Amino acid sequence: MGKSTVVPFGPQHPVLPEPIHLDLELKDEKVVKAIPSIGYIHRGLEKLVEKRGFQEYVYIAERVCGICSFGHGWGYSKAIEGLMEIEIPKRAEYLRTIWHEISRLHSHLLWAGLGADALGFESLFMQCWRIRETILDIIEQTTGGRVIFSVCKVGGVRRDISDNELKEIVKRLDVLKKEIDGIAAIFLNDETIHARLKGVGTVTYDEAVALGCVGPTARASGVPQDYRIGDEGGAYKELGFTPVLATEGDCFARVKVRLLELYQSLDIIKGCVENMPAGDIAVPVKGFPPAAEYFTRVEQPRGEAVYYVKGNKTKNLERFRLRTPTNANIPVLVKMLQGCDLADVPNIILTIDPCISCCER
Amino acid sequence: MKQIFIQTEAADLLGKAAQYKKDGYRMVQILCTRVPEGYELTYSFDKDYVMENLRVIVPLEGSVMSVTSQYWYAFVWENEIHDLFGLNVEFIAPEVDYGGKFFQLAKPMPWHELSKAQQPAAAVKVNLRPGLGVDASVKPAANPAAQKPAAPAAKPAATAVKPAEGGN
Amino acid sequence: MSYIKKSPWLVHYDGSSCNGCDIEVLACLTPLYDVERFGIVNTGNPKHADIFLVTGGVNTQNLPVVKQIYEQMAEPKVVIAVGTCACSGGVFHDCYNMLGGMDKAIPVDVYVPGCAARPEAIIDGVVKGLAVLEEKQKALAVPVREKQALREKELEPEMAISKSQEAGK
Repeated sequence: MGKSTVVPFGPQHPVLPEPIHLDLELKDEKVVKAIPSIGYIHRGLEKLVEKRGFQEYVYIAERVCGICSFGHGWGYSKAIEGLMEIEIPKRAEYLRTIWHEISRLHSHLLWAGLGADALGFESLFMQCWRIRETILDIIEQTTGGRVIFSVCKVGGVRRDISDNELKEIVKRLDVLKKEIDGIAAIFLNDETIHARLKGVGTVTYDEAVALGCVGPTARASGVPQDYRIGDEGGAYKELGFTPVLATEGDCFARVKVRLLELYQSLDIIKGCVENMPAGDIAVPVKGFPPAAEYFTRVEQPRGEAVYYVKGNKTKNLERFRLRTPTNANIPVLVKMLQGCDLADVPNIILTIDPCISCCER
Repeated sequence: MKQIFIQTEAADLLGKAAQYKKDGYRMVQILCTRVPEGYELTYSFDKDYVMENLRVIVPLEGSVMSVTSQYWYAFVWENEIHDLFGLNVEFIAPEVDYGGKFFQLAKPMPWHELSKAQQPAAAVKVNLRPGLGVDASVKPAANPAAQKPAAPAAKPAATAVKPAEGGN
Repeated sequence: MSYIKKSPWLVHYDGSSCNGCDIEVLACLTPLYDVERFGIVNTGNPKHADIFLVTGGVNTQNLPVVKQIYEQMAEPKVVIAVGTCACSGGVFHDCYNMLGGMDKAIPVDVYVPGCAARPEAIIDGVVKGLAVLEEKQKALAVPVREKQALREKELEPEMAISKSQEAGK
C-alpha cells in the first residue's frame, strides 16, 4: 500500500452537470475517505422571503431546483395553505398530483440518462433523453414551460387540463410505457450494467436507517419510507399507494427502484385521470399568514423534502426553511464512497441522484 | 400534518435525542431561527410519518451541544447553522466538523442579524406608512417604545408550548 | 445551406443556476435537438473548448472557479451566458450570496435570456457565438503575425550567435 493521496473531484467535472466538490483520500485506487464541501450554488433563497410577498415567493420556491421545480412550488404552497388553514379544491389536488408525477417521470428519466452516461453507456443516455422529450412535450402543452412549470399557486393551481386533453395525455403515456420497457430491459438485463453496478456502493438496511437517508436511496436498502403514504396532500391516499422497495442496497438496486417508480408514476397519473373530480381549481387567498408556524413534507423524486414556514401577520414570512432530499443523502454518500474504487466514484455519486442546487439553496 | 412542538431545555437536548434514537425515530432536520431572545432551534424527529419537534431557545452568546453523538448525520445541519447563524455548536463529531468552512459566503453569518420585521426600528417605519392595514396596527402595539429588542413578549408565538395542535 | 467553418467544442459550467438551464443545455445534445450534427461537442476539458457555456449567476465561492476555467481556455474563446440568472442574476439578484450576472466575473459575448432558456434559444445563442468566434479569430490573426515578426527580430542576435558558433565549429 502506498501512502494516501488526496484527489479533488469537481466542482467542474464532466460527469456531473452540477458543481459538487469532494476531496477523495485515496490509498492506491481505493477511496479511504470522502469529504464533501458545498456552497458553490448557495444563493440564500430562504432569506428572500423577507423581500418577496408570500404569494410571490412561489416562483422563487420553484427555482430552488429546476428538476423538481413543481414539487418545491407545491411544498411551499402546501405549507402556506396549512399555515393559513386554506382548504383547496379536490380537482386542484388531483391536478397537482398529475403534475408532480409527470415531473417525477421527467426527473427519473433524466437521472437514468445521466446514470448511463456515467457508466460510459452513451447510446442509452441518448435513448433515455429522447424518451424524456415526450414528457417535456406534455409539460409544455399543459403548463407552457418546459422545465419550470409555474402552475402551482397558494390556494390551488393556475391552469386546468381539459378532460379531452387528459385522455390524450394518457394515450401518449401508453406509448411512452412501451419505450420505457425498452430502456428498462437494457438497464435490468445488460451484463455490463450488472458488472458495473452490482455490489458497488452497498448500503445495508441498518446503515440506511443509521444515516437517515431518504427517497429511492433509502427504499433501495429496504427502508419503506415514502411520504406519498403520509397523511396529506394530493390524491395518493385515495388512489392507494405502496412504495417500491428493493433489499440489496447497492447501486443496481437504486437503479431498479427508480425504474420501477416510472411505472408506478404512470399508474398514478392514469388513476388521477380516471377519478378526476370536477370543480374549481383554486380558492381565493385573503389576508396575510398568521403569526404561527407550520411544517409540511412532500415526496420529491429524490426523496422527502421538509418545508417550514413561520408567519408574522405581514405580507412577508418570518422564516422559510427547506430541508431537501439531497441534503439528507449527503451523509450516506460519504459512507458509500468509503472503500470504493476511484473509477466507481461517478456512478456512486449519481445513484443518490444528487441535486446540488436543492441541497444548497 | 399534525404539528407537535415540545419545549425543552438545552441541557436536556442530548438526553431527549438519545431517547428518540432508542425509540426508533429518524432525525428529519434541524431548523434555526433568529428571534429577539437568541436562537430558536427546532429538532425534528419522525416515526411512521408523524413528526415531533423539540424546541430549544439558546441565548445569543450561548452555545448548544452537537447531537452528532446520537445522530451522526446531523452534521450537515449543524455545520450549516454554525456558518449561517454564527451559533456555536459544540463537539460536532471531529471527522465532520468543518470548523466554519462548510459554506463559503460573501458575508459571514448572513442570518445572524434579526430580520427587518423583527427589528423595532423597522416596525416604527411600518407604522409611519399609511394604509398598511392589519400588520401596521399590530406591529407597533407589540413594541411601541422599545428601542432595543425588548422582550419575549414581542414574540408570543415562538415561546408558547404547543402540545399536539391539530393541523390540516 | 451555408456551412459552418468550424466544429466548435464547448465546455459547460453551472454557476449557481437552479439546474433548469443545465438540463436544457444537455437536452440540446440529445436526439431531438442534437447539436452534434453541427459538429458541436460537449467536452469536460476547458483547454479543448472554444465556447464557454455558463449558466447561473456568480457568487463568491464559484467566482475563482469560473475565472480559472475561462483563463484555461485557449484564444480565441467565446463566453455564452445561458439563462436570465447568467445574464443579470435573475430572480436571485438580491440574494445575500449572489454577486450578479456572469459578466461580473468574466467578459460575456452572447446573452441568452429565458427562465429556463429553451434549447432552441441556446442553439441560436451558440450560432451567434460562432460569428463572434470567427471575428475574434480574424482579429487575433493579425497580431499573431506581427508578434511572430517581432519575435524573429528579438531572436535575431541569438540566431546570429548560434550561427557564428556553428561556423566556429
